[in-house]
Amino acid sequence: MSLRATGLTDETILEVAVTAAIGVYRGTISAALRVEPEFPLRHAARSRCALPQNEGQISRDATSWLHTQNGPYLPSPFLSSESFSPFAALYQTHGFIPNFFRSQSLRPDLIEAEIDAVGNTLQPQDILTRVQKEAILLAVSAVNLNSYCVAVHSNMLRGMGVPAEEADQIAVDHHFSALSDADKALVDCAIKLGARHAEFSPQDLDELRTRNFTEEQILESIAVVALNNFSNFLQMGLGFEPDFEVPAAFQQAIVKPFRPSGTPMAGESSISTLVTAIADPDAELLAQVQAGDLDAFEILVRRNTQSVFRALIAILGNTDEAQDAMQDVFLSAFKHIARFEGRSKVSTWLSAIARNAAFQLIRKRKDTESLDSADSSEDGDFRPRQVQAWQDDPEQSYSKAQVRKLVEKGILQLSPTYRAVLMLRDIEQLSTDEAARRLGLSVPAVKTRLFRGRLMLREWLSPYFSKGPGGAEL
Amino acid sequence: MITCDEFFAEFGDYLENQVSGEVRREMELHLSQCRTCTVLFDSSCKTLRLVTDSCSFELPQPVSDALVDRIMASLRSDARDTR
Repeated sequence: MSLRATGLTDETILEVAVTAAIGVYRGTISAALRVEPEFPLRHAARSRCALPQNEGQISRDATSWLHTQNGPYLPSPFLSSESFSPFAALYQTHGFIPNFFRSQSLRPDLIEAEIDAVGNTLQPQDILTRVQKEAILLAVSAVNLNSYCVAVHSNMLRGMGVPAEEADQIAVDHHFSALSDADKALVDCAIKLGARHAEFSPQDLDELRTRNFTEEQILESIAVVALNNFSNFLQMGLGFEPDFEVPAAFQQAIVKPFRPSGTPMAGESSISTLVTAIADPDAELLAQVQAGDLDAFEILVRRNTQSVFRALIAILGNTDEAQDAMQDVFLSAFKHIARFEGRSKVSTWLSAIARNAAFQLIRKRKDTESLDSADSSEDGDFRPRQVQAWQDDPEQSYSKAQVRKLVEKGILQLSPTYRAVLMLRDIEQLSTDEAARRLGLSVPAVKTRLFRGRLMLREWLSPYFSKGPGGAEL
Repeated sequence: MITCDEFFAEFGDYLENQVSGEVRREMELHLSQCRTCTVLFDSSCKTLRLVTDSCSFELPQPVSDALVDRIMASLRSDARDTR
C-alpha cells in the first residue's frame, strides 16, 4: 500500500479507509435527499463535484484489481471475545467474528460504533422488514461486484427462510425474483442510488411514493443503501476476505449489470455457484425450529452430535467431561435459537456454544489456558527432536482400535491451543478458512497452530512407530 | 540448495501443498539430499494419515442416542408444562 511509503501508520491508514467509507455513506444520503450544503461551495470544489455521467458507477474494469489483490491489507491484532464484549455478542448471534469487524481490530472503538450503527439500521422491522433491507443490501452489493457482501446477504436471506434460488435471483437480476412489484421498485431505486447515482433523480423517490411507500420507509431504504455502500467501500479499502467460501470461479464472475428489462438468471452465472457453495444444509431445519418445531430440533441435534462432542473435547481435553457437557450445550442452543440470525452455518454456531461452555468449565477448574493463548509461548520455538525413521506401514503394527487409542491419547496431550485447530482440520476435515471462522482466529494463526500441533503429535507418536528396537509400549 | 532452517520455515505450507512451484522444487532438492528432513517429512505425512484414518473421538452410537433422547424428553416436558 503506497500510503505506507509516505510514513503513515497502519492505524492512520485504517482511519483513512473508514473516513472514506463514511464519506460514501454521507454522500449517498445527501445524493438521495438533495441535502443543501450549509456553506457555499467554493469554486475549486465545484469542478470536482461535476462528475462525468458514469463516474458514480463501478465498472468491472475499475474493480478488476480487486480480483487479483489478496487482502487484508492491514494487520488485525487479535481481540479476544473474552475481553472485548462486542465480539462476545457477535459470537452469540453469528457463531463467529465476521472479517468485516475483525479486520478493524486496530480500532476497537470503531468496531463498537459500527456494530451499533448496523444494529440500529437493520434490526428494527416496524418500517421496512428485514427481508426488504437484505434484498436491497444483496442487490446493490452485487451490482457493486462486492463478493464479500453478496456472500453475507445471500446467507442472511437464506437464514430468514428465503430459498437459495430466490437469493440467487435477487443478486443476479431481482426483476425475475419473487419480490412484489413494489419491492422490485424499491430495489430499482436502491441500485440507482447505491451503484449508479448519476442516474438517480428525485423522480425515483416519487415512483416509490406511487407504490405507497411511506416517507419513513423511503428514508430507511436510503439509510440502508448508504450503510451498504459504507460496507462495500470499507471492504474494498481493507481487502478482507469473505466469511464464506467463495468458489474461485466467482473471482472471474460477470455480474449482470442493472438494466430495466433483463432475462432470468443465466445458467453460467457464478453467483449461483457461490450461493450453493455457502448453503447451510441445516437452514431449512433452523427455520422449522424457529417456528416451534421440536422434531426439527431433534434432527438438528442428531446431525451435530459428533461435531459438538469434538468441539468440547478440543477445549476440555477429556472425553468424560465432554459427554457430561453435551446436554447443557444443546439445551442452551434451543434456548437461544430464536435469536440466531443464520449468519453462519448452524453447525458453526453450535460449535461456538460448545466452546463457550467448555471455557466456562475450564474457568471453574481454574485452568486458565484458552484458545486465545499467544503463539509466543515456549511452544513457539518447538523443534522436532525425534528423527528416527518410521516404519513403512505404521498402521500394520497395531490393531485399528489400538491406533485410534494412540492417536486420541496423543491429541489429548496437546494443549487446547493446538488441539482445537488440529481436530478441526485433520479429524473434522474442515478447510483452514472454516476452522479459522469456528475458532475466531485468523487464517495465519490457524496455519501456524496446525503446523506446530502436527509436529508435536508426530513427536509424541514417534516412539510407537519408529523402526528398530526400543519402541514404546502401549 | 536451501538449508534445513529454510526447509523448516516452508514445511507447514509444503505439507498443505501450498507452496509455489519454485519453492517446491527447492524443497524436493533439499529432501533428496538431507536424511533428517526426509525423516521429518515422511513421519509427518504418516502422522497425518494415521489421524485422518483413525475415526478418533466418535461418540458411540448408543451413547449418542441416549443423549438425544434425554435432551428431547426434557424439551418436550417443558413444552407440555407451558401449554
